[in-house]
Amino acid sequence: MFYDGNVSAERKEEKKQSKYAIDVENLRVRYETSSEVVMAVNGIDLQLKRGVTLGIVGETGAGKTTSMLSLMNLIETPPGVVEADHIYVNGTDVQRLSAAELCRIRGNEIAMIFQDPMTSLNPVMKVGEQISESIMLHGRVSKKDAMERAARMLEIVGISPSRASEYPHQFSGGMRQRVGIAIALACKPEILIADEPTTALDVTIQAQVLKLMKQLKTEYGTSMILITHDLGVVARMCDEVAVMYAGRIVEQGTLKQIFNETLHPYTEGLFNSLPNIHNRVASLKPIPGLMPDPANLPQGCAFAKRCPYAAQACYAEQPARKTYEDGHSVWCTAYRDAEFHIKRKG
Amino acid sequence: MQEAILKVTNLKKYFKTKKGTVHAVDGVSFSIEKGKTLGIVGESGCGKSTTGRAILRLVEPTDGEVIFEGIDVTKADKKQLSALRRDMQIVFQDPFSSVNPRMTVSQLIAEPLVVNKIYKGRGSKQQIEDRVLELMDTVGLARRLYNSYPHELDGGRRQRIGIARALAMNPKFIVCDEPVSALDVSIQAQILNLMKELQNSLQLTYIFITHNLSVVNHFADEIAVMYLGSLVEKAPVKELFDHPMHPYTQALLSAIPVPEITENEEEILIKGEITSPVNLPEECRFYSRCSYACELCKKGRPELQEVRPGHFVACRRIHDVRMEEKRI
Repeated sequence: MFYDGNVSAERKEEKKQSKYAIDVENLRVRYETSSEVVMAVNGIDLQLKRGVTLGIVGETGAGKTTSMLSLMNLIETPPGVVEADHIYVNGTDVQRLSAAELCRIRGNEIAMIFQDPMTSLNPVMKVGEQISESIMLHGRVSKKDAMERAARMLEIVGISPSRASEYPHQFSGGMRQRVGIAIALACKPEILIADEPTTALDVTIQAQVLKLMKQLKTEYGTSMILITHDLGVVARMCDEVAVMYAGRIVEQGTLKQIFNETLHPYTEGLFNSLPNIHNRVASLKPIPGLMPDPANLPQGCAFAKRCPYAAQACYAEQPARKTYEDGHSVWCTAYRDAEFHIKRKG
Repeated sequence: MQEAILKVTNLKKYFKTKKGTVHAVDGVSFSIEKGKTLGIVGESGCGKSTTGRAILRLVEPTDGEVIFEGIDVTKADKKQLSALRRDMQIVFQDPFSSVNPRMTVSQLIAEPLVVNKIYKGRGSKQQIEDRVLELMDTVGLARRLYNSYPHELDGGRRQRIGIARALAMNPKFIVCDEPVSALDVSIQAQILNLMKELQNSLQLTYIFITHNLSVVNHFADEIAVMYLGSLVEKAPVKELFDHPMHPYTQALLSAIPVPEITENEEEILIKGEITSPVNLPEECRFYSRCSYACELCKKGRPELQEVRPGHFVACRRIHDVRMEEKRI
């Protein structure tokens, strides 16, 4: 037993009162090494409503994965240093929890699907056992019952239960990712964090896995955070979107707001640099330059150097959040001018 | 019509393994005109990379003909081959694992010049240095990176080194094997634009191997779709995207997530996964996953047939498929 009854009752009360599945304020994560300090996440606020899929979009090194790992308290400290005003998962501040209490929450209330299905599975453990392991950890179930449930999970993700006694290397990439999904869903978590779940897969297999995740979401009402760099996947899966750049959120809104009423110059740049199969153009418009080194971030807006709209003020100060009436938020100094708008048409 | 710079006929590459023969490339034929790009598209394990390598004889083809400017590459002797290799180059997917991490940028770019002994005798050192700097300018690498090591650079710059190495010998033809797959989208667009500019200014012919259909749509003149070692469809790019005919191509196109909000987009999901290319039965390679398959499909492999001008499809059920033609 991880818990005594009193704490459980308290937790239930917290859960009932919380409006959001996840509520994070001012999350900062840095990695301190002997030679440098890498500022991975620099103050993000994030609210995940229940039953909603939130997409977190950004390029390599934007801090997407780091911020999600810190929600589950999975950042290794040291070298990591995690600070936040609060990190509420289902109404509980995970920063205050003991290791045993965290164990109870992970897998049970919040689970994660990792990008690389080969490295996130144990290569010397049969897949059925890997799934039943998490079931047994979170409920008082006999090994036999747990194995039965593991077989059922395999069936749900489209793998024949007869393969439960095989090892990860005997499966293809797509099937391994399904095993990862089966593990994550084994305890029917209320919150699912999927970190680039289909990036390592072929498009036809990707379509199968995305469809499966969508089905499971409607079936269990799971709240989901989907980390991806693929705006196409976002369009298919998400209700809301947050765009990250150099450890900060630069734009946040509903899917429609981000796609059709784009506000931030970086979001615009992402759309322009994507080849679109519906619209063949002579030349793509890449974003010039590179993302700044997170160990050496500029004082002002981190995107200013690559931004076609950058003015003097952008280099001097951090952009403040501007939220419109419809809930669409942007972090860009240029919007202090009420007349400012980007050129991308919706 | 211009004459083909490269003509591949019935190219085969089998690998013998303990479990049986792997039919990695199984009778592939196509040709490319000078200055054009052929996109070879398919999923992991369909044999697209092996095709690219067999053309350059980086793996020895099992059978078939590869005629490059009138010379059969598959029969070329060592001396002919080393001359051919100057004209035929390759750019690899992972720009980090394809270069020696202990060599500097300038050493890496100079390597092909040194190996091929392009500059000889006195003053050759200076000539090589000049050429390396020229190549760095061409691919957009800042001269200050001359003595940097690849691990100090980001993926986009590393891929620029790969391109500079390929360009060092002034090739006519380059196999680009997933050159942008490992890069972030904003960097991907930079590299694609660079490759397009180079093609125009240097009159290059490309084979562009990728799993990303939206990238080839942007880049290629003609597209060949591969499945389990065979071409299943080949057509000019616009024709292929407007009228995909092979059931596999249709499914592939509908599976691409498009960065647009669309209402109720129809998805054609194909069941199962690519079958193992070991000891394949003599039936249509797509048989087990195809929703149109019938008994007829089990009788040998279908040949590529021209169904519209320039549009080739290998499918026996083409008339049934076409009736229900699904456009993207």
